[in-house]
Amino acid sequence: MSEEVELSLPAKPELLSLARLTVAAIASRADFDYEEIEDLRLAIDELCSHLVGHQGRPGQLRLRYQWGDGALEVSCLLDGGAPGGLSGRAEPDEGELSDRILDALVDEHGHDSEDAGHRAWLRKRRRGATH
Amino acid sequence: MEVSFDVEEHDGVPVLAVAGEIDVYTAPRLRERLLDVAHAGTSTVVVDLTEVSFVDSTGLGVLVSGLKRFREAGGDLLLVVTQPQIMKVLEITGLTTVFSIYDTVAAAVAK
Repeated sequence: MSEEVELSLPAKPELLSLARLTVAAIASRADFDYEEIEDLRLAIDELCSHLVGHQGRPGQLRLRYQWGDGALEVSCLLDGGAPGGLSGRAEPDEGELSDRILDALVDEHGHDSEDAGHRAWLRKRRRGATH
Repeated sequence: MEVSFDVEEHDGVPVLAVAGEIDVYTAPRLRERLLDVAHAGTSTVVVDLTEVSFVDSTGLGVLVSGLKRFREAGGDLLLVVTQPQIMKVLEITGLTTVFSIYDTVAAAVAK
């Protein structure tokens, strides 16, 4: 990973479009094609939506975009925590649908909780990348 | 870009045309609009996604819940989809086998 951009925004649903715009701009710079950029916009949205929830959370959502060698990695950290955990899906099918989307669109994804807060991440290789 | 809605009747069938992006922020408004249509007493609704440029799992969750509600009432929720990216999301989530999907409003209303 040779280049890196960080974005910090309040953990509010109305601001997630900024995370999508940012990944689209970075993926374009990193030579991902149009379809892959659309895939990444949706994948980032899925990662962040789970962290932010329908009502938003206190604190900041900190995104780190790293790219190089034909791959893009994004880490989303919700600092300030999520009192009561990250549950709170509005519709019963959302969680399963989100997992299917991420499984299909990126090479790897995951989430964990650490001292600093809840974190979700993904990694996608560019089509045709050799490494 | 956020989202906008327009409801018109075509041959007696309400058509909810959605434009913009459906995400965790805008999906609650889609849910409200579907409830408005259901409460108006109709059994079937067509949701036109032709002008939708983005939909995520929260938007799909609202559509699935709407589908269940309309089918339980003896009707259906039909989709109009022309954007390849929207069709792709429906395909990878397996929802193309759940929804009846048409490429024009006229085709959906005729069913």
